[in-house]
Amino acid sequence: MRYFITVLLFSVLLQAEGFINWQPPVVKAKKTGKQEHMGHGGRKSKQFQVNGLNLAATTEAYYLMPTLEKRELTLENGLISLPRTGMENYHALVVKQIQEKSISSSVRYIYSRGRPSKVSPTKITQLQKNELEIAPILLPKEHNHYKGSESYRFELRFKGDVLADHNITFTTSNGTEETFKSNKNGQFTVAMPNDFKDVKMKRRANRPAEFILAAAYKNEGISYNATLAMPYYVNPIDYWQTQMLAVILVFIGLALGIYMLRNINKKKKRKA
Amino acid sequence: MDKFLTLTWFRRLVQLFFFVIMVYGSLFMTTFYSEDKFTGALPALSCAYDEQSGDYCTLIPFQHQMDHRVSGIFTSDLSVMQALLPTLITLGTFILLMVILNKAFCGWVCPLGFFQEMIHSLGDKLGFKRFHTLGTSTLKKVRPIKWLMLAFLVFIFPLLTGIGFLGHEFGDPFCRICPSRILTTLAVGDTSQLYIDNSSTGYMVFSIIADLLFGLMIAMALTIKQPFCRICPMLALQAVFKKVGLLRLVKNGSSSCEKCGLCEKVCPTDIFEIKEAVDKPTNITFADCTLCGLCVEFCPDDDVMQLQYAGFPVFKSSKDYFKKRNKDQRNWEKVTWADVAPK
Repeated sequence: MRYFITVLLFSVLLQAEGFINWQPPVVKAKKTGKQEHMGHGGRKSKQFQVNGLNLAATTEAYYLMPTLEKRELTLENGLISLPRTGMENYHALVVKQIQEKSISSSVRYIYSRGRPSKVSPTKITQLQKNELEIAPILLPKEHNHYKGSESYRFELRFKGDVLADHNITFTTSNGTEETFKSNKNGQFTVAMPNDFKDVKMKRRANRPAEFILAAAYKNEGISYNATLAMPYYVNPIDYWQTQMLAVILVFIGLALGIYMLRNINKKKKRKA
Repeated sequence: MDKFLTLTWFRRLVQLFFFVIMVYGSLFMTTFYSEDKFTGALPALSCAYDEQSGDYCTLIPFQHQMDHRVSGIFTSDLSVMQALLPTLITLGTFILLMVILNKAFCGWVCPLGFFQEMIHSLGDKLGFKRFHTLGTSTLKKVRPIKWLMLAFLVFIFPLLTGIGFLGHEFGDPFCRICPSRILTTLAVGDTSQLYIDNSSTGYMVFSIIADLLFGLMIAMALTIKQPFCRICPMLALQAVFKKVGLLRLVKNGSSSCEKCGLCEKVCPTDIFEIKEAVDKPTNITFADCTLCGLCVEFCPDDDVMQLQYAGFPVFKSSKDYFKKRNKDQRNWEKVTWADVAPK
């Protein structure tokens, strides 16, 4: 229940400022009646919902494949089902809402399994998808996700050019709020917070949280609002992994090896 | 300068080149993701946990495919062909690479093999007493381990995990204990793979084995040649397809073979069968061979040992080369840490 409320508040907070963002919809599970994310299990299509959408305004949404091929999406009450592309690698879910004096947009990068795309995701992150855009410098790869207590770099761009000395707000579904400023290269580093509560000491037992990076920019009388929404995970090092003991174990292994070698030497000498 | 014109020095340069490519490749090839990797099925222990690696080891997809795909034959409505196709593609890529370089992936490309060789040289210079051989009886006990590792850690356990008989920790059990995972991530300054995992008993046991094995491998490598290679499942997997490789170790008949035994002495994996005489030119690329070429370098007879590519000799033994190589080796062995350390 608490999770549902925080996600709801998190979405409402951003909507109030004219931002839109991609989030997995929260629904009640049929069997248990508990709040849960939709479309994460089995072979069901994943679903995502645009929060903050003005249903009367012109909205376009599409799914960008790693090869930059577009699949147009139809929003039904702000909800879409992800089409299957059969291609492995990061895809981009893009939405843009055009109103009289404002353009709001949101991007979410989604990793899908399938046949190898043989294309670097930098191609999809570097491509200009919206006028104002927050792009990851590098997306976490194969065995990795965005994780708490780790730092990640992003870039703020307007019409393809970097936007220096500009504020970017960072909010998470766990309640963290921060503001970052882009440097002269338009880049900024986000130290992902370890703000998870009630963490279970088991892999896969903890649901990812959501973070949103949001930026606003006014140009020639038009307000541009952009968000980047992605999930982030509990960092095992913060909870169920110990590094100091591991280092001690490596040294024990070293000592054990040297001891074994000395024994073999002694045996050889005795035989000789 | 002349002393650097040996096969071993050339091999060291190739190993160094591939170490940089396999560990740091993404830094200068603008690659960062698996989709940019050369093959994704390399016959060498180049780790996917290293986010900067230029390619990764074939044992990774094999384990994942057993766990997530092949198991589907028993647990879902996947057809046999659908379930096996990714594995067949990986296997096809692997075999193609084996055709090109055969077991030389171990002796010339593998970052973990190179690391162990460097540690061994360091041990030598630090004055650790080297073992020229483990002894035939020990070798006979050690040799089957790599086949068991291949069968259980790469195929059976991941498959049983996918079917549901084993916990998730058995989904990629070889990766969980592989020293290359720790080595290559540490080499790029990432300490996240050096841990003890308390999330379950299985994860904890695997992480303890991995850390101990890493320390043990370093200690052993100080005095024993290639300690981990002897139990490495990659060596076993390569052995299955060694006959398709164009690069081979070939021995021609010689009456002096059994008296000399230098090839056995220098062999990094102690292949004692290598010294046995043959009547006619024979492919002696044994299961444990890494095609390093040391036996060819140290063979004192003309043309007895050869590295052949597609039937053509690319490097062969000769008396003159042996004399030069032997002299260089003796000079190299004389140099110790005490000679070069600042006084």
